[in-house]
Amino acid sequence: MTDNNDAARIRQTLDQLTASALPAPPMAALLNREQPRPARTLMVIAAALIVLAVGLGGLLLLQARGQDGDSEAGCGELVAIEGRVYFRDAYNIGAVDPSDLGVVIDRVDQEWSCNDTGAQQEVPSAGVFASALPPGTELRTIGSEPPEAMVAAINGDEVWVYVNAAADRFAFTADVSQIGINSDFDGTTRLATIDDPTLVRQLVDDLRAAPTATRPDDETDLDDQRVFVELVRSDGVRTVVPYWIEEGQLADRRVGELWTSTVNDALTSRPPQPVVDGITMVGNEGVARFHPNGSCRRDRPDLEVQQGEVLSIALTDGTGIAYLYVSPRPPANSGQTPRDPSYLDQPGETFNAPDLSGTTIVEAGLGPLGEACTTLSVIEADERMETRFHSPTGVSRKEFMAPHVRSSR
Amino acid sequence: MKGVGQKEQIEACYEQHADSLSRFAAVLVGSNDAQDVLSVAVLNVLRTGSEIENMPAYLYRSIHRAALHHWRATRRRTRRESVVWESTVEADNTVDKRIVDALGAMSPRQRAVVHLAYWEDLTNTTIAARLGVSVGTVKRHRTRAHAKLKEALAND
Repeated sequence: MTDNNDAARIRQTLDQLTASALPAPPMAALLNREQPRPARTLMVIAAALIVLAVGLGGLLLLQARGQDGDSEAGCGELVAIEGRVYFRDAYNIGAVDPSDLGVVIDRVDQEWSCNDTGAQQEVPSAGVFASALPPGTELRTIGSEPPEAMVAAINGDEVWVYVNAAADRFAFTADVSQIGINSDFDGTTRLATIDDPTLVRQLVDDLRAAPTATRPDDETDLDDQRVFVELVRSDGVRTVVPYWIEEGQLADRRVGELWTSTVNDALTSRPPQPVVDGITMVGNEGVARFHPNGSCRRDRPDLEVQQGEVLSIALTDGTGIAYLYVSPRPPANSGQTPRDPSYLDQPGETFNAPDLSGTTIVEAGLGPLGEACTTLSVIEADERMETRFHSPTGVSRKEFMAPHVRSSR
Repeated sequence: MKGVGQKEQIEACYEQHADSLSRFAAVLVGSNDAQDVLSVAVLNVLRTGSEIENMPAYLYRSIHRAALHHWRATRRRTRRESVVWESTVEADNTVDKRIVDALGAMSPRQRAVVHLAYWEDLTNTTIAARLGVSVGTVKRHRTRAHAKLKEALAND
């Protein structure tokens, strides 16, 4: 098949199949096409929110899960100070005490309404605008953060922390006492902790010295294991940023082997996650156990399934499912909202595994049990066949899997 | 408005590569839906907000993502194997249906790799950069796609 004739034939076929897409429409025509998602208005704010979502690891989309996929994006909680846009960092909710705040650097001059942040509007180049804080609200420094990077405001009983996503997240001068490795699920559930002072210092130095880099934009590769790194600081502030372990991408920095090995070691050394009794997932190759939501890990799949495989939930008596997220949650900067959850009202109802390859976490809301999750390793249909019949070692893929997976059969 | 320079950059890049991008969208979702996917992809790039280093590659990746989303959104209504090029095949009897069937049986990513390898004549390294995946991933998809094409062309 590899000779030139076959290659030419393939090329010719591709030419024939795609020729009717020509001539390509001008860009103006594309922009004016009716969009399935009405995000064209709010262009500026959508762009800003996406930037924030990259920086904060998809928090906004995590918060948006369960919303109708066609709903319009909100304008978020924003502050503009002299042309700099700050976004509310919800990871710091409740984590900062008013006594941690520093000097007043400014006050909100004017409300910044959603209508004023639309596609045709400019970010105000002067003055202080806020979308969710009343005029007069004081904006203060926080910890050792430069005000260009982070400010805070007291809103009611809470301290609201605002982050400038365009600023250096690691410019603070406070010491880091501990590094937490947090769940991809919510950014806050602690999976492992690094607290050796020497190692913590090395990691922070390494991070600050690392070159800045844009993450390769492969939003469909579910095998990228993302966790959140939480820098616990002596000034009372936590810096929580996403870390794609395999890629070495920590926020906007490209870190090296020290980070990879240290984080992997910290995660590997943790005992198996607790199991939620009363619910299991049944597939062709075995049974997946569930864990408390937030504790599921992509590096510890509970069951291997094929794309589209029919799966069912087994429940003990008295347990009901309120919702089940079968599809993977879209990645942070994909511009997609989560698909509607599947509802399984009756025991024995089935659903299909996602049609993407990689690991995905399935979440279930359970009547008396709270929320639980399980991790599926989704493979293409022919992958299992290949492994089974062409493995050079003669050992099946399942036998390579972690003991806790094998034992769940 | 901020980001005007970037919009112009995107527009210039799109105009320069428009036909190739349109063909790429067509091979992923078919000519009928190609403009929808192009439109979504270009809008997504405009919304990016951050600086983009390699604009052509970014546009290709955006189209690829939009195509995958398109498939996910429509998969309940139709299977990807059956819809893409029926009208083209019916209208042109010189089209090699074996290759069409093989392409139709591929995952969108495999199809993207085939297009970039055969139509654009790119190396694995360049394809990896354009799709934002590792070279190993490209090799894996290329090997599987190659096997499907080989099997199809063996059926004379």
